[in-house]
Amino acid sequence: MTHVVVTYQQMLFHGNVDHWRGLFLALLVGLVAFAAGALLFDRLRDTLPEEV
Amino acid sequence: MIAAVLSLVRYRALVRSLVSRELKARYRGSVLGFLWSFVNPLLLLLTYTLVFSVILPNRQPDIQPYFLFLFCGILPWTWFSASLAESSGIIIASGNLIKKVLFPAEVLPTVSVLANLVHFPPRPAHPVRVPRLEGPPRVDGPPPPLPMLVQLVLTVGLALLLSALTVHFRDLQNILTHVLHLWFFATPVIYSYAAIGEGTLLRRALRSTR
Repeated sequence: MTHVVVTYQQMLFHGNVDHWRGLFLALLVGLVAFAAGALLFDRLRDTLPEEV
Repeated sequence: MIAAVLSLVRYRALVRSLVSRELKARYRGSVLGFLWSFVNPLLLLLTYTLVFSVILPNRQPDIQPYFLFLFCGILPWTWFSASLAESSGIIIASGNLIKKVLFPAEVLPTVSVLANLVHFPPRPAHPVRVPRLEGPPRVDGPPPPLPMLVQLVLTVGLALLLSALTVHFRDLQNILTHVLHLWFFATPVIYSYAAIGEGTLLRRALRSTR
């Protein structure tokens, strides 16, 4: 979240952005998190109704 | 991953309907209603401004006026933390819905994230952008939707992960509260990124990405 928040601050407060690498890294981490979340959710899907 | 995205796109009408229902249910019976979406972050902003302007004044020159700097970080953080806190327990809370209605359960954590996104102004830049009166004119950065999109992908991913795991490990919900607390202070929301001391663990971890 550091890179996302820093990008918001640069964009909205300072008026210029030089944190592209950080935002790109955050996007990569986000995509990995999304893939991991979707995969895990799919694996556990059948067990969810029993457990709740 | 692509299947999950397609599933969410296919059920977008359901997602929209559940987000609307969630927002109506959240503010039903309250006097201020939907205004709480704006009042809550403003009160949080007021608290931090009071603490860091009056009690422990923050005098870093690059982040003045401080309340505007705080505003730029606190809104995305509130969206992120509220989404994760809500989505971690959403499957358990919607047990009856999952058992009785046939629909992809990943819709539920996504609804939590999107319901909290509604509280986030679509273009917060315009009311708070600080005009630069000195130095060469600068090219503005990307439109706010770009970091919002990155944050959305990250938040939905973590929400899917946490919502499924919490069903099996319910302690996770309590642990998450403390992890988010720590994460908040590790993220430069109340201080500037430049203020992180050289050689600190956090700086070393982040240095490679600058």
